[in-house]
Amino acid sequence: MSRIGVFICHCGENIGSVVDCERAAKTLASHPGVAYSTDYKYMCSDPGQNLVKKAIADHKLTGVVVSACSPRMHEPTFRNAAADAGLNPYLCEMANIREHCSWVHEDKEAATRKAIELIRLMVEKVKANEELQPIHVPITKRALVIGGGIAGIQAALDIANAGHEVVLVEREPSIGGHMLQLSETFPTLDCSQCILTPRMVEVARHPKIKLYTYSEVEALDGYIGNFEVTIRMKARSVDIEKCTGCGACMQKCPSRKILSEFNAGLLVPDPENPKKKLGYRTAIYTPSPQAVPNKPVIDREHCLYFQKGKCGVCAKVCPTDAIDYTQEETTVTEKVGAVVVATGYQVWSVAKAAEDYPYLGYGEYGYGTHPDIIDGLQFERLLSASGPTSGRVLRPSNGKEPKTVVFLSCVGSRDNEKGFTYCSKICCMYLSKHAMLYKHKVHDGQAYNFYMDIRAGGKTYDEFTRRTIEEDGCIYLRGRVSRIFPRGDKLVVQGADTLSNAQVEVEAELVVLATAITAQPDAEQLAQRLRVAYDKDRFFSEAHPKLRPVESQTAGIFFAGACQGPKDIPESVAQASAAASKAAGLLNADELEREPVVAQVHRAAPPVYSICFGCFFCERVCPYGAIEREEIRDRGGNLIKTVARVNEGLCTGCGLCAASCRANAITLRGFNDEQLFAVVNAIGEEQEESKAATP
Amino acid sequence: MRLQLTNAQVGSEWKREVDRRVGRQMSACYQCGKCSAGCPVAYEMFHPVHAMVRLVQLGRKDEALRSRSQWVCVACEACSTRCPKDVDPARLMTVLREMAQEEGCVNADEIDIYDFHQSFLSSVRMFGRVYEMGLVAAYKMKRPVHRGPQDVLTGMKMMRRGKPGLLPHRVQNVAAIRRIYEKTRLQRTTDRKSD
Amino acid sequence: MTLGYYPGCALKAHATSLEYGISTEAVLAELGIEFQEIPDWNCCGASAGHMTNSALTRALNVRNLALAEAAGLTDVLAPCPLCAKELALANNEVKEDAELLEQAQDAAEMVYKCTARPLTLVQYLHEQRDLVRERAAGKLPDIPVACYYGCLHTRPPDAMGFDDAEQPTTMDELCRILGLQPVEWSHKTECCGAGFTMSKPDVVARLTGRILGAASLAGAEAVVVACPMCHANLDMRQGEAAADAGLGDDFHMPIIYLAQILGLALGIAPDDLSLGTHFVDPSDIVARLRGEPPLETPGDEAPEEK
Repeated sequence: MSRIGVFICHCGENIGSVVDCERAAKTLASHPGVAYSTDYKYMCSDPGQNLVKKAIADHKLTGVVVSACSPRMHEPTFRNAAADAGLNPYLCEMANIREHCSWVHEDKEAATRKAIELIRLMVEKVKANEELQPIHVPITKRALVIGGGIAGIQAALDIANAGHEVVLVEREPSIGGHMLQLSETFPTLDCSQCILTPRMVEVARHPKIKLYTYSEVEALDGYIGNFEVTIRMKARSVDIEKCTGCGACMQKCPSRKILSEFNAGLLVPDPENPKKKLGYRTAIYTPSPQAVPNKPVIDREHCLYFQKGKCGVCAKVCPTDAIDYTQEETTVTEKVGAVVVATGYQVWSVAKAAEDYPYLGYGEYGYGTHPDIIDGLQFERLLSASGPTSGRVLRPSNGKEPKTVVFLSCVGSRDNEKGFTYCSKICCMYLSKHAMLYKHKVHDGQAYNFYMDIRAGGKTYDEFTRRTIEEDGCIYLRGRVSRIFPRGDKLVVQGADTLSNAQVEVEAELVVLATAITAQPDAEQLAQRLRVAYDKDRFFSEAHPKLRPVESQTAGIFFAGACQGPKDIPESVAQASAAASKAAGLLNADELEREPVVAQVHRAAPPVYSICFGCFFCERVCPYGAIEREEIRDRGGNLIKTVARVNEGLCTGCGLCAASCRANAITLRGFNDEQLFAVVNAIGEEQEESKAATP
Repeated sequence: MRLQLTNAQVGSEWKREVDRRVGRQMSACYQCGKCSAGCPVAYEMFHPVHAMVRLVQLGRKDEALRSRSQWVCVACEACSTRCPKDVDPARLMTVLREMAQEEGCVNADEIDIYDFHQSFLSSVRMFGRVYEMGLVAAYKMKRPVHRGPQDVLTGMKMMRRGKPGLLPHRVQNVAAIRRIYEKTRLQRTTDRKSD
Repeated sequence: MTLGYYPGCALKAHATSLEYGISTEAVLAELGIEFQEIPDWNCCGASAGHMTNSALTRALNVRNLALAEAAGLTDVLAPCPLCAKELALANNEVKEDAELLEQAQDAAEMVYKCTARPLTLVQYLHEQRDLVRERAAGKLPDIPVACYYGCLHTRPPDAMGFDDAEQPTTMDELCRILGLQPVEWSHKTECCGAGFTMSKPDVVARLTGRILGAASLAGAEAVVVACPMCHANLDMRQGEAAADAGLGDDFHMPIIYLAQILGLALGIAPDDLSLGTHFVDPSDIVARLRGEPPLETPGDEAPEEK
């Protein structure tokens, strides 16, 4: 016998000003199966919740319907209240009479009748509800961090220091990411490598961190608490156990003219010997002198041994016999319970774009083919003491010191037509820093910065940009640059200064473009491999932009750093620690409690076993990969049939499988056929009821 | 300079009319200045291209229509090609030229440019194709003292080379051309019954 | 299929740019291309129309496009890029907006089904480059030349739909096929001042000065053009341009039409390409292009001949 409690919320004026809650409560009181019906101003408040708990006890309620806002707001609140009072939480439902009623109608009489109807339908549903128990899944107390830049490093250290094992996978030969390439960081002008390398070493030494470098994540299977990651370890051609990092191989390698990725492809003529260019790397190389691990890899595409079968010098000079040309790619799997994605960003190029991207490139800046037009990362390498010129600012065209440097903001950012609509956030600050450092190194040089706005919102950021203008004499011109073209051995920069209402022309010796920072080129593929959402610019999508910035919409996967959107180092570190705390919190529990509103495939006794006939259409439609195949065998081990089975850990209860199943073999618990038909059948019975109940 | 802005001015019907005729939204312009930066005749303009858009954004109709800028514009389309917000300033310049004619406030300093356009179009109206000699003669006759001596030597050099031809080329169906002119004539605001 | 031919006012009527018309027609004939002038075509409105009355310009050009369509000519070659742009712009506008099409058809008193395709000469020759290669590959010596596209060959990109708006290469490619050495230079698409040649000549002097200066700096010995306005501006005012730029001496830069260059490569005589009517005497470079020894005393004025 049903004894349902109905609680109608006024929600202040939100519902109360349109729906006559008192009348609704009176009407519902006489509905069959309703044992208690009342209305209240704010149900979600403590007194409101206590009202529910008291009524459950006093009236021995078998079900509760709270008629208020959307269940997305307070379903957990009221279910917890019901649980506190000893009622199974899944016997508590909400009827939405705010978003679905009072907020969208103006006719009070009609709205009240509609609210009564909505509540009535929900009462009918609750009568058919079953008690459900939360699902418990075990947790592997290890975390995976994808990406070894500053965000990945911070996340890995935080999780490891919280006491859990971390698997850190980095695809470059060394961890450190873009931060390792920088010279000094704003606003403190700390040497980037000096503040980063201690953390890198800590990661390498940490007993709880297992570091895979020169490796990529091939696949991620499983579900929250129970992931299995497949890692592809690329062949270094060096045995890292034997290698001591002495560097003899690099000194002797004859292939010395390969563009260095770490130097962002920058080449500068040697001022002592202009025919020679600085900035190359060798075929066997470590990306930087501070690489962690400090063990080289062989770039097989440029190595003479692999391309032509010649040379082999590195193997000859290696004192510990660490070179192994026969080394092959291997695949390993690791089990983890949580994943932090920290794959970072790439710096966009103004060159004529690749086929699959709809970006045209900047022809008005020469498509970046002129050697003296470089991007921000290349200028960092120029400034860096570990760079091609050991920190001297020199022109890539002739190796001389430029006396006029022009910086351009917003190249590709905030550009609806040729680039990306968003702001890349870090460029205003790093250009200001570049101008400052340039002036510190070239005392008689002049810097110009063509900007649109100055975005300096962080702590002491604005003061930093003012120093560039007031102390280092950089001229800030407010306007974009229309065209850059060579004239003689200089570059003519044609821009605007809207503050002077003028077109301005500057003859530059070096031009630095602050090109947009974008998602990694394979961000889309990685997102699909991990089954996380991403946006139109291929940045990964957080669960809620305001309140859940480091969680993905996929349970157990978190984001940190620039892969979620452009941001600077302090923000990346903050996000990394936030993601780490979420991951650690997840791993702290012994078991994971999951909502039981999941799908279930019909099982029965032999000889039926299941009305599922194994078409696996559900498998095709499930967005979460939660359908597995189960083989039903007899005692002799013979296969009877293969049916679908729902992985309750992965299932989010979306109901697509239940809706698509041709045999009607799948039920969504909490929304089974009986419950749904109860609602549908009750529609339209309203007329008799309300006529009887209306005073 | 001081501006006294009113709601009526910044929310005017004229602004909406400009947007409609350009086919774009002037409010999309964030004044980056890339248009002015690439304009070959910016050196001649008191209000460079971006400033003209700004005049429209603030509803400053008089200044916009009376400006010289749209007349010295060479219609090279560099601005529209490079504008990151697809504001199409080149088309705005044409709309402002049309509106200036409609309101009778073509900038007097650029009367040469305006007269030349008019003489050109009159020539086409008469013959269906430009009659260069006629065009030059008509243009110079409007201000004979000022324009008469212009390019006399160049003109003689050209004549020696057989250009331009002495007689006009005509379109057969000139009447059709004249009817096109009639139907597409710009409506002067003094002619309009309602605005 | 017969090629529709829209010469425009500048090329016909013994106008200022008669060289362009003569050389284009000679080249088309030599290549064996069948072409037909659009019957009773009218002026496209040029700068004056485009700048002062867009409805008039659209109607004038819809008439031209409708005339071409009615004559069964869908590809319309308009060697002057301003004409080509006006035709292409009108074409695009009426294709996308039914109301504009109706207004233009009403004014032009013709029905237009939007099947015509306007082309510039550069575009047409580039499409026919295999034929050009077959007939004239390598026929010219590797003289450095600056290919000047002007502002309208590639802009507006939506209307012209051709080549790269910032760094075009099609004319360079054609010249390279012929054996010339096109230089990399900075003012390929900078405007020459167009229709201001009479009404604001100081602007033309300034703008052409920049262009000629850049071409000289890049080591070009001639500028190849495909626009009658550009030719007139670059050819006729070099003295004023040099003076405006503060240079002591004149530019002495021969300005030659692409059609004339192609004509020379095909072996057509210079007189048949009207190479004698330029202001800046091209005789020296023409001789070199034809493989003859250079003239002894190149004057800065072409001989006075018709």
